[in-house]
Amino acid sequence: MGGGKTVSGENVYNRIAVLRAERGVSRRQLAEALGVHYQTVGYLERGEYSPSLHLALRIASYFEVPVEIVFSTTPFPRIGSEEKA
Amino acid sequence: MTDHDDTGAPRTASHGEVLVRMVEHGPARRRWSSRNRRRALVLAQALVCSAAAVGMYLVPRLPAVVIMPVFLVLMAAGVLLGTQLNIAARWVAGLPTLDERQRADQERARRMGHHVTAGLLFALFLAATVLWTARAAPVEAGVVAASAWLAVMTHTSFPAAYLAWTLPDEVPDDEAQ
Repeated sequence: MGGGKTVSGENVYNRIAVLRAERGVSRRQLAEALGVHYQTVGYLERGEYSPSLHLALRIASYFEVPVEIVFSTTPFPRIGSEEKA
Repeated sequence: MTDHDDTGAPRTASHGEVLVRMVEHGPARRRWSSRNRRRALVLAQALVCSAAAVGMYLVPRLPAVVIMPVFLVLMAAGVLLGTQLNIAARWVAGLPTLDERQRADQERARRMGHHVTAGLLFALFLAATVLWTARAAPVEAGVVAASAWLAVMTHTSFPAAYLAWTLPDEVPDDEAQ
């Protein structure tokens, strides 16, 4: 899961890369669908850029999931760790 | 690269399309994807500009047969490095449809460039005022020209240099692999 401190120091984690992989979408395809540069998608995934609310909602809408499934202020748990617990 | 319009005549690329192709050219992006490489480019450009400033100071002291070739080499190097710096930082006027991140990055670069240029101009003004009020010996024209050159180059080059220096390593183009 991507995430880390942005320029403002806020921690924003995301699962964009996981969602892209599940749906077989490349960065360029996602970027074209969102109307952003493919580098922006890459920086988003690495947590080096924190999206605006509008962009975050459009990303969630593209993947057809709630925005809190895509973004979080706390690290996402590893897939499968909930089952072990 | 052209396609055809409604009449079947070949359509030439618009200016924006040409700029996008130049900036997003695969080999160029691979060349400047690393931040360390971009920082080396910034330092090279700073070195060439500084050398040109020193050259301006030395013009009255050296023969033309020495100064002219050096001037031509520095000018060619400056143009080449400046062009590559703008491509590396995607700091190209007229690029169509910047997204929110690019607009924010460019705005921050412009703001930093404004602060740095303002500081430099104030420092030059302060130096001139001190020399004037102290009734010091007249400043050589070469020093004035070199100072003005550095101020101009700082103002024009700083935003691209700032972006090239600070932007993280670029992500690879997964469709180009």
